[in-house]
Amino acid sequence: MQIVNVENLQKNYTVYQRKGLFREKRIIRALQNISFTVNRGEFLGYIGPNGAGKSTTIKILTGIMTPDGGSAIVDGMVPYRERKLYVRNIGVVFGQKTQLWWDLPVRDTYSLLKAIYGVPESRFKEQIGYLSGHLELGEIMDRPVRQLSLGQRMRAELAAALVHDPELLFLDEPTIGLDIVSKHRVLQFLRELHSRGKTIFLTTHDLKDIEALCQEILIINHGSLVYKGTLEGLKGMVKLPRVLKIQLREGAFSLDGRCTGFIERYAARYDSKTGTIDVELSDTARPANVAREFMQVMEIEDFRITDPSIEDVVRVIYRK
Amino acid sequence: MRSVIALFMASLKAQYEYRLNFWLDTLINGANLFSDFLLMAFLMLSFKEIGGWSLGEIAIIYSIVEMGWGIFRFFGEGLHRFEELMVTGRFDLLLIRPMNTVKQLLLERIDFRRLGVVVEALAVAVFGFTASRIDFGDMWLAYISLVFFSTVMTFEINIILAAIAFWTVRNSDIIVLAFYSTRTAAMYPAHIYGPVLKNVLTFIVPLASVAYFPVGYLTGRITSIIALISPVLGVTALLPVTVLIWKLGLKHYASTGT
Repeated sequence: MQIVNVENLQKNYTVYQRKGLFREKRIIRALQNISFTVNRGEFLGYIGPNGAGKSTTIKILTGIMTPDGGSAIVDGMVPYRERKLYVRNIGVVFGQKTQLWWDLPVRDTYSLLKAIYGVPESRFKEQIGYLSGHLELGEIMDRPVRQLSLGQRMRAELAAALVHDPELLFLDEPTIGLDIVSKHRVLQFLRELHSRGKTIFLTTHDLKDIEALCQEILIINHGSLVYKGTLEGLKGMVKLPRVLKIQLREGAFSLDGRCTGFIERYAARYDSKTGTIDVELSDTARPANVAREFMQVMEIEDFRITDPSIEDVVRVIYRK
Repeated sequence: MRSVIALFMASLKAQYEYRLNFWLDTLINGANLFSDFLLMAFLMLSFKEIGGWSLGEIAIIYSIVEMGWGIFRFFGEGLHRFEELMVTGRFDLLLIRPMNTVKQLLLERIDFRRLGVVVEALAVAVFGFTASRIDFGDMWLAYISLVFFSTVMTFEINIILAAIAFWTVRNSDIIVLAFYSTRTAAMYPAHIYGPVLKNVLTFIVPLASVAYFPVGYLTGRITSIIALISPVLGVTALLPVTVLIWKLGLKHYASTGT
């Protein structure tokens, strides 16, 4: 069942550039006919390079911004037309902007949000207990927000977006700047939310997060949708070769003419400082044979075959 | 209503977080106001009149304008610093809450120190009534009504000026020019100024309509009945303008996001 239905969404910005005495008007097409749907309970990763139109999409879907063309229907409502009613059922985290009351203890922000959203006392208690347990908020509950570390603040931030227990979550870079432990906690919690049937819309630059969590990804570039589907599907779309990485034995880094000729024949990359050779394997190549050939001409310490990482795949897509 | 009370209490608590600063600020604010008051009193005692108005009468207009401003600043700190929200993009966070944006702004940062302004304005009023030998017993209802209109108008003007930031992002200079200078001007009888400033105070930033004109009528210096009802006219005329400009601003923000 669909919860988000976006059709032909368009958004242009007018910017003025100073040219000598005059201003020159320029139209930036931030979104060009974007269409996609999100099913209820889906965990969607939304990626794209800086300036691709991610924030614009999020702003439209959270009711902050109106599009110039096309339509967005979320949870049966048009976000930017019925803002006050619509926002009752969404939770939003902007990783770069805090929504916590800076000078007050964390707990007070939750009480305020409880009053703003009109959450009944019993449900509030239950929800805070749940959030506090999963996000380990106990020790920071009574500390003023300004004293929290970034990791603590982000956990508090997530809980703030969930006080009213919304069905749909928009998370804009919730792991930005976090250390490994804090990040792990946050990701773990997102997984828990997803298992409870929440629909999650996650924007991030960290593809590892996406790999760990999302079944579906959405890629945007230059204001257009490039891909919507599974991660595996994406890897199939961009065929990148597997790479055979060879490490030469210490002291055997200087290669004679025969060896360099051999490397050239395979179009391999050789780093004489570290003594590593990268050989891209074509689809038809048989890795074992290639490795054996190298072993016959060089003194090899170690070798392994790597699959293209999701970063490599996405880099290729961004460049297009 | 519960959310209003909760936000109000949060503002108080947030300010009390910096206890020493809170009390020091209150103290310094009080001292500042007292020195303003002394200056005013000194001026009043050295001059006999300004533009034919007795100093007691001037003190009454001063008090009405000043108290409107004090009450506005008590609630209006968030509105006063609206450009910060525009510059940092934090206005987005107000839009993701199921609550009116102006309401959120008014409750965002209640400035309890401004109560000092209210006390100061009251003291000036007492002086004014005493000096001009007006019986406060007959006039207190008129005074309170005028303070009410003055407050509402100050809110209207400042919401309009804040909304300008939807287009310009920064608006502090516009606030100084369009509000602070006219506010100071409106504390004195408007007929002492040239026609341009007098017309500005009457029709554009009509602060004269909540103090100068009605007080002039009540003290018998202005005879036209329009002077008496001018506060109602001024406040009513500004209301649709305020609502319209704020709505247009929101619309502009929604279409540009800046």
